[in-house]
Amino acid sequence: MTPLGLGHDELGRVFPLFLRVDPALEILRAGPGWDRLGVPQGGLLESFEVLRPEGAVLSWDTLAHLRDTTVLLQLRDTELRLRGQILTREDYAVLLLSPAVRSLEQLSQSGLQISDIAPHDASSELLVLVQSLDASLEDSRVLASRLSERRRRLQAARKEAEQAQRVAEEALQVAEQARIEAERSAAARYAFLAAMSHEIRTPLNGVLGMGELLDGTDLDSEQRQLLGTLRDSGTWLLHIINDILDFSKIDSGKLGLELRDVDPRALAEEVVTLLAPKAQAKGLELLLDVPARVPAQIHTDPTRLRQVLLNLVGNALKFTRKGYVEVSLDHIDGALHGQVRDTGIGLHPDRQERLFEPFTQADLSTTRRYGGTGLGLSISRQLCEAMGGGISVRSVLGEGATFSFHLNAPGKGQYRCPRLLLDGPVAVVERRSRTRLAWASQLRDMGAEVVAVDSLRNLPERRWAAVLVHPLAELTGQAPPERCFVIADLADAAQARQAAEGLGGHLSFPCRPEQIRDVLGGVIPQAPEPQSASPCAGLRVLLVEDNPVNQRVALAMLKRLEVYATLAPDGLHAVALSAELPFDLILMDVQMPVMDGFTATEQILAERGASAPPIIAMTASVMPEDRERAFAVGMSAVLHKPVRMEELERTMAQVLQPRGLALLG
Amino acid sequence: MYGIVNRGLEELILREHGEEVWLDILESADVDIDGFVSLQSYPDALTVKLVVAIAEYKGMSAEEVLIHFGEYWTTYTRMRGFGPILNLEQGSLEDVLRNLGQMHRRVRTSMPQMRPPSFVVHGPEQGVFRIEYHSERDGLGGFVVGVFRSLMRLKGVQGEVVWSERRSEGAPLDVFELRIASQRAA
Repeated sequence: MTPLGLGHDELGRVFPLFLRVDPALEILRAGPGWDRLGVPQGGLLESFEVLRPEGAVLSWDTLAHLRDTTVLLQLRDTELRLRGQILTREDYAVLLLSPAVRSLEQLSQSGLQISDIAPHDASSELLVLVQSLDASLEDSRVLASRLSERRRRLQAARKEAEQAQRVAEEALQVAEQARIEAERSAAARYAFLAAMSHEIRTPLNGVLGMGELLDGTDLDSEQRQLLGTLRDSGTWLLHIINDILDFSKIDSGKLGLELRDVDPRALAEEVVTLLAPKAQAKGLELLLDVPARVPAQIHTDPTRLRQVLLNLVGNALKFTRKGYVEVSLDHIDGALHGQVRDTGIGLHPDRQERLFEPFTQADLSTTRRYGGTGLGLSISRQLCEAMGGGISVRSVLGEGATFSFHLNAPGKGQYRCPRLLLDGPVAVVERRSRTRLAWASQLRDMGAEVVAVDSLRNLPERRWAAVLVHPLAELTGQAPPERCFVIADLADAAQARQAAEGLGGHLSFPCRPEQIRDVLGGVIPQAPEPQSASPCAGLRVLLVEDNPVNQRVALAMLKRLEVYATLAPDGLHAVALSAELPFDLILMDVQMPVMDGFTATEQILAERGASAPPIIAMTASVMPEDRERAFAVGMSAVLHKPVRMEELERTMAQVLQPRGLALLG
Repeated sequence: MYGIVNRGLEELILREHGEEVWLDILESADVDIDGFVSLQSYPDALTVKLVVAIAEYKGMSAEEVLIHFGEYWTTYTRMRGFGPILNLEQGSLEDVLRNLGQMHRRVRTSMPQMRPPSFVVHGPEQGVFRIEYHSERDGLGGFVVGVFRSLMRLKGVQGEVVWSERRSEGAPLDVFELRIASQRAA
């Protein structure tokens, strides 16, 4: 038995590393932990060194003195230290030892295991705690290392982002510079083209004006044909210049819209009227359809809308050899929808996409065969887009094409179609089926009962309120029916007027319902229209123009209009003359030597005040700022060279009308 | 669950699949943590989410992932310096098994919030250790299977681990049998 009254096995479970020694310090028994280390051979003195208490020497006598002290022993020739207490009896002593290690690793390296630590010794838990803290410390190091790596990556990413931002900013600067350069270049191009246009228009004014005047003289048929070619060429040249200028204007961002309320029917009819001679010359039916749901007024830029329509209808006529060209307008959700359909040569599907690109026609042979700048459709597209819309085409090669466009144009006022109040049905005699149907449809919209036939032979015998007959040939060699009216294409209006003498009257196709009502609603027969004199006859006009050719053209036109004209070669002369003589109107060139037209206008208005005559600018400039400046200095209207006589007459009449001047005689 | 467990899962994936996959798993599990600290306590739900995300990635069941993780656990804890706690180096398989409880008691000083399981080891009888597993937590039986397999392998014992009674199937507690086929000379 041991001093505790325990058996050695029990003592071994509580103190796995106990040693029992005799008074000679020979080891008699050892705990189970020594099995792994090997029981020290020899005596206690040979195997151990006392580390604490310091200076103590192992002997039987000292063991008794050390029993109240915790001893720390070093196992000789190893790293292992053992800590414990000593119990002594008369003939033996027991050392209750436990390993004194700082880590689990050291325990393991000593050849011991954790169960060799006495169970009541808190060292085992402390060793686990130390190992756990070491593990956590290592985890923290890993985390810190990850955070450092992440910070390094973030810094690198930030530097990359800053670099990318710098590159993007530089690219933006380059792009912005390029944009400014492009705009500057486009503006310079436009300015150059505008200047060239001015230079070309000035002599062209002379060519076209002289041609117009020459047309009013006695010419034989060959001379008239040559003159026709000359005028057509001049007009075509003007058209090309306008196209190039328009394109350049859009390109340089100078396209401005002048929105106002316009009558869409009148505008479409104007376009059709203008192009009717062309259709007539090619034997094509030119039809116009504007249903009653299209408002009386739309808010749009009439000049640009007219330009789009003229371009599309002009193209359709150009590329159609036989059949018809139909123009139709509609108004849906505040937008004007237009369609120009023809029975022309059509387009290959591959070519339709790039048709609206500038300088692109269907192919080069088209340009050679049909002429044109190739800018018209591109301009039309950009105009439609500028007005909040678009343009497209559908076509089958050889079967014609349909161009559709739409643009924002809020409507105003419901259109009220005039009603016919007749005492019977109306007959339409027209050989061409589409034109016949168009007449019938229009008359029915006006409330008439209509019978449409292709010839007089097929006209039923009955009492008609009116019989509308076309073509003129139908009336030759046979007696016209009662209440007969001649209907003719616009281009044949003069001939129709002549043929209608002695009949009910005449109507031109296409024809507005108001005109139909006025003619059919009138009394039969109507007297032929008297040929009126110029509404400007007898006016006193001061012409201010420095260019000799333009002087001759304008003077000749004024003479034709039976106007008394006085010439001033520059603005300074004009100011002096207007102070001396009572002119009814001044026609003022803008660019002149000595004193320009703007300055002269300002001085005349300053001197004469309310008694100053209206002043009309005549300019070859197309710059919008010149037009704006003309109105700003007080001019009443602007005429662009080349000036047409009809236009000159109409503008003069328009500016004088508000003043109450007697324009007739 | 203490961070050392989640760190173990992390190391397993890093070792087998690399960092990109581990980051994907964290994202998939919706765990916004840069790393785990062994002595810090984390919600059990976080560990469950990680196991589920790993299972999805590996195309395994959650139990298969836990068995796989349990097999790695012994290697991992030895690598982290905890091997002597289990007397892994010197003790026999039986020593190690019987030391499981004492090991958990020693660890509890370091990890006071730990809710350790306890094991009652019977046998071996006819080459079979019958081990009762008592735990407050459900669903970790697979992990225990993996740990036993790795201990057998470490001690050079051939045989199989059978999860013979399952609490999830109505048994009063989970019971595992370590069926020893042979033991190579250590």
